[in-house]
Amino acid sequence: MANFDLSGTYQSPQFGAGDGAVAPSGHIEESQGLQGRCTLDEPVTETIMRDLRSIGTKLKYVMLPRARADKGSGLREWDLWGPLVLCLALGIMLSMRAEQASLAFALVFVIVWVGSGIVTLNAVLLKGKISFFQSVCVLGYCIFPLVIAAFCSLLLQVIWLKVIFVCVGFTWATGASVAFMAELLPEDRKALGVYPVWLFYVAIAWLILIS
Amino acid sequence: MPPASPESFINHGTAVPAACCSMKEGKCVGDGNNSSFMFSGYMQNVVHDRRWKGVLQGEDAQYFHNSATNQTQWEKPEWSTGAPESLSFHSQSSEVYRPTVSDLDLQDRAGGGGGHLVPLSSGHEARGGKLATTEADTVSLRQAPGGVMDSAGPAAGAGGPASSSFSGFGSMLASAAAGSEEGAAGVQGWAGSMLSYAQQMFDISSEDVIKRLKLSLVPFQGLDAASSDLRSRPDFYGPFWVATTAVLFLAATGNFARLLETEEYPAVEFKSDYSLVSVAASMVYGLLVGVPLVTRLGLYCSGQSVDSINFKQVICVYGYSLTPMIPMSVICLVPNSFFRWIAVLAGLGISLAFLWGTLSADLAVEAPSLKWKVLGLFGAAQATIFLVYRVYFFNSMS
Repeated sequence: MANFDLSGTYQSPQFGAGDGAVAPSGHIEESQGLQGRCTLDEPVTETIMRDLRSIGTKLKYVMLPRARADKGSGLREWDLWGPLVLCLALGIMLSMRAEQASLAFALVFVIVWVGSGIVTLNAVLLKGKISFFQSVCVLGYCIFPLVIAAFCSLLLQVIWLKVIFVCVGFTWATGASVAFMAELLPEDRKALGVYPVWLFYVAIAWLILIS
Repeated sequence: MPPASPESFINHGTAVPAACCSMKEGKCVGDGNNSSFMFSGYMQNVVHDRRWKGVLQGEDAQYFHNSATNQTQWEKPEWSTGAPESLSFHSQSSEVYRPTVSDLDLQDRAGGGGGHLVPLSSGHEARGGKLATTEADTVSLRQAPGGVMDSAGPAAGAGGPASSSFSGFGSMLASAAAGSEEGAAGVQGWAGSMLSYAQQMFDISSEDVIKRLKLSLVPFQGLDAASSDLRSRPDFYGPFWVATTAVLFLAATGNFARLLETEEYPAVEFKSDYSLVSVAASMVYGLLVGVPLVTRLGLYCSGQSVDSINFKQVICVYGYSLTPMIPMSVICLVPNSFFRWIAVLAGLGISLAFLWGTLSADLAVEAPSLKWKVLGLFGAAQATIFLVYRVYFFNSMS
């Protein structure tokens, strides 16, 4: 942080709450609720908890059927922490019992990140009105049902139960994200943009199934 | 205690740290009487109306200046943030604002003229367009992206500041902006033109893709019309996603086959082989990219003009010819060795028939001496994939 020598009529920035002036906080993303608060003075745990709470609310949002109804508008303020946490959790779970543990983890990681990047890029190239990181965020958060399915199938190693869990998780995951993607594409290309989303979740579901 | 008015920050002679000046997206500007540091690159949620600039004074204070109405205020400018009726992320995007070429261009053009804040208005007046600077313009957020989306044609008469801001600039910017408000709006220069080029390759509708897929699976009718269609409008969506799906299905069915086999031999525990994915991926993608490259090299080395073969068409056709692999891989789940061989050979045959039907006529016209070599090369590549799949992926456990 550079030092400024601001003398003269400059007032030191002791902004109270509700001043209307927004001070930059520690991270680029600022939720609407931060307006008027100076976040530099708060304890570190508070900063971290704010992010964790935001991740938690988004995860809850994805799990509810309402996500399908209003097409993911609760995920409007995107962040990539949630997808990262989910991806790591999935990778660890799938590589725990695998023989080629490192390859499995790498595969999960690559498929989740590169996959969502490519799916979003595909939508952009099809002239969809898509915001890149927003889309990556939605795709990442919608993996959550599959992560739950992976966890359940890790506990019970019965094949047909696994199939059921994964199928349920898959339909749940595709519900919100397909609705989100279809909304933003031109009319004659909806299928073209939605198919990669479907393929993305099929890939992840398959990874869980064969673990 | 209310903070001092923003104007009191001007004329301070405060040092602008050198580190800030080297940042890509912020700009250090100073003219005679204002040495504040304009950090427009990282103002998020602020500059959807680009006349508003957030000016970061020091590191703690920030005020907002509207270059059109020349007002400054401490508060963030208000605009309608009501929930959109549909999920229009483009109007409520909270992404980092990326300065577009238009902004930077205008700054260059404005030159030493009035101050550092972007004279969007003056830029437009220079073009003879009249920019309405009413309150409605500065606060209407929903209008802005709509304006951008309309900028494919001349934006004359289209309301909204953003559309006017795009109207005057080259077709490159217009196409990039029209393509995607968020994805491409921040892209400058060569990247923008690359994006618009890539968008041309994806310029296809669902029905066309489905038609081409059906043709590649049953290549016995209507090949002439289809080949001329493929020649005139090659697309890259089909090849890429067919290849990706093929990679996934090849790896998946390879593993499932092993799973089914371990059902027969319960003593052997099923170990999933993740390396199949990398083998399949490198094979399919490598051939999809490599074979046309090799062809191009061959053309170059043999002295023929490289343009004699329409490569987009070739890549497109080759990509679609990978389609029979998908149903074939599903059929190969049946645990009968002979049946699998039949399926593989049938898939290979269909694929080669499609290649032959669509390419041979064109190659005969464009590069007759190379026709056989090119077709032979593609055929060999297909055969490689199919046979490697059959032999390597289905190593029987017994």
